[in-house]
Amino acid sequence: MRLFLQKLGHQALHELGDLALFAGKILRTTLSTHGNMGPVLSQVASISLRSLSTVAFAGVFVGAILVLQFNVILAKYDAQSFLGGLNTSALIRSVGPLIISFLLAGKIGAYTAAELGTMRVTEQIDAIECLGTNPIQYLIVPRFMGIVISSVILLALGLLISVTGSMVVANYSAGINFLQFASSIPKFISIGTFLGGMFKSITYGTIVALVACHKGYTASGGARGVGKAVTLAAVYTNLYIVIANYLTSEILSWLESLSHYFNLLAGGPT
Amino acid sequence: MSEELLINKHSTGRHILHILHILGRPLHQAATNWWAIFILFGQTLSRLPRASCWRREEIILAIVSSGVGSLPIVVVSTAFAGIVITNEIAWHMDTALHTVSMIPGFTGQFIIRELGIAIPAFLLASKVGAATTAEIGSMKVTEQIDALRLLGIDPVTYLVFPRFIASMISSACLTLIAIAVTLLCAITMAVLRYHFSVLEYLNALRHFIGMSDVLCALVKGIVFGAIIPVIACGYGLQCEGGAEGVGTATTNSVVSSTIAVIILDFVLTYLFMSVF
Repeated sequence: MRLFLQKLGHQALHELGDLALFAGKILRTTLSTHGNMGPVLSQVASISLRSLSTVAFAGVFVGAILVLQFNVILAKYDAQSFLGGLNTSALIRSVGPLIISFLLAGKIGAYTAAELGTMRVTEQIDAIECLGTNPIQYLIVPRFMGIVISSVILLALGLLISVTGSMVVANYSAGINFLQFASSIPKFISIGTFLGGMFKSITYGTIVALVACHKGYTASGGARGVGKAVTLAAVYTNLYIVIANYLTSEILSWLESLSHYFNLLAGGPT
Repeated sequence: MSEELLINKHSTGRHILHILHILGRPLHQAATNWWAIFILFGQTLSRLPRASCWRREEIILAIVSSGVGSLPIVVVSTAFAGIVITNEIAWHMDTALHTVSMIPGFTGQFIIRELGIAIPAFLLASKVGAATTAEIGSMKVTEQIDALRLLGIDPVTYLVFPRFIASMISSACLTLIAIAVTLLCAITMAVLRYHFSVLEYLNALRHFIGMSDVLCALVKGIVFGAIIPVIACGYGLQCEGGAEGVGTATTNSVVSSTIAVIILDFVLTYLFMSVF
């Protein structure tokens, strides 16, 4: 048991250290080269367009599932008037970003890992290096930036679609019409909720981008190696996203209580 | 040839055909893939009554690699999910009703009905799905599957069926384990931060949760466990074109099984809601 834990700890430290070194390399390359937005924008366009339909589809169903579940639970407390607010708030604060970024981990993360992994095992990255071009600058930085930007866009769109979808489902299956649904939303949602959701999206996007680029870039060993890189990228992204979900929600609740105290000090509305 | 000439005469018609071609190709591709997966599902189910297909060693090996292999990640993820869901629901209750006394019932129901089932299913879709597609896809591109067929061994019986059975068994177990871990962490959080006692929590839970909820969770877990390996094997068996093909197939497999889990979750939730 102790040996197992030792091995696990060693592996985890190794993994995180590798990831941190890779992030440092990306950051250094970004800062030391002049910003060229062209490749980044083309990555944003291709990634967003490719994943838009998937995210929209998943968004509607996630909203629908939440409405069904919350409706059953709230009906037991006779508090169905809170359905709209509770559903929207839960979607934006935690469930929506979590599940949509699980999907992005597969759609964007695995795709990028497969693309970079194929380039690695067919020695295209070595060829780029031989030509005197920095592969991190040429391949990784535009993808990294593109994934972070487009995952924020996609999450925002996905949340919008899932709130709309849950409104429709609430109308048909829970008997809560659009006005009833919308009228309970302001009770739970403020500008801080949206900022929190954005903060979570950026964090998850960075995780997806970093892990996918790292696993793809360090792939080795032919077709089997590419498959392994894609699997590892999907699994580690999901694991890190769940842990980041906990950390970001702790940070956000801490910030919320901080702003609450500041409001009290300033004598403003709480 | 004559058709082409006809189209060239009317340039609007050609544009429309071009647009239809662009839109239709991915749809056609998706329809072909899903039809093949559907057929594979039927073939796998048809192996169920044949005793010769139940090879114990293969199934046990697959359970070890897919079920026991995903145990650590499922436990870690659901533990964090349990902590987060308690905090979130406490915040909502506090905002709406200025009381946190409803945490046990609300959290417990949400975990047993949804969270403890969905999160392991997503993790299995990405871990088991991707690993299976990668493995079978690299067998396909290195022509090992063709070799199996030449030797007269049926790839569905030999590769797909053991994974199918193993994934159903391990998904059912993992769902129950995940629910237990999530509940445990939620209880710990409620005791430490919101000052409930354990007995109080369990007593509140007892009012809202029955055996039927656990059975529904089990059925959902088994259904998710049944579709994930079939989708993964389907993409793996259709894979072609070297390393690039394996990468694409693995990506598609992860995305399709996640979407399938989300849709089936909705359908099953709706069904159980109208039945119970």
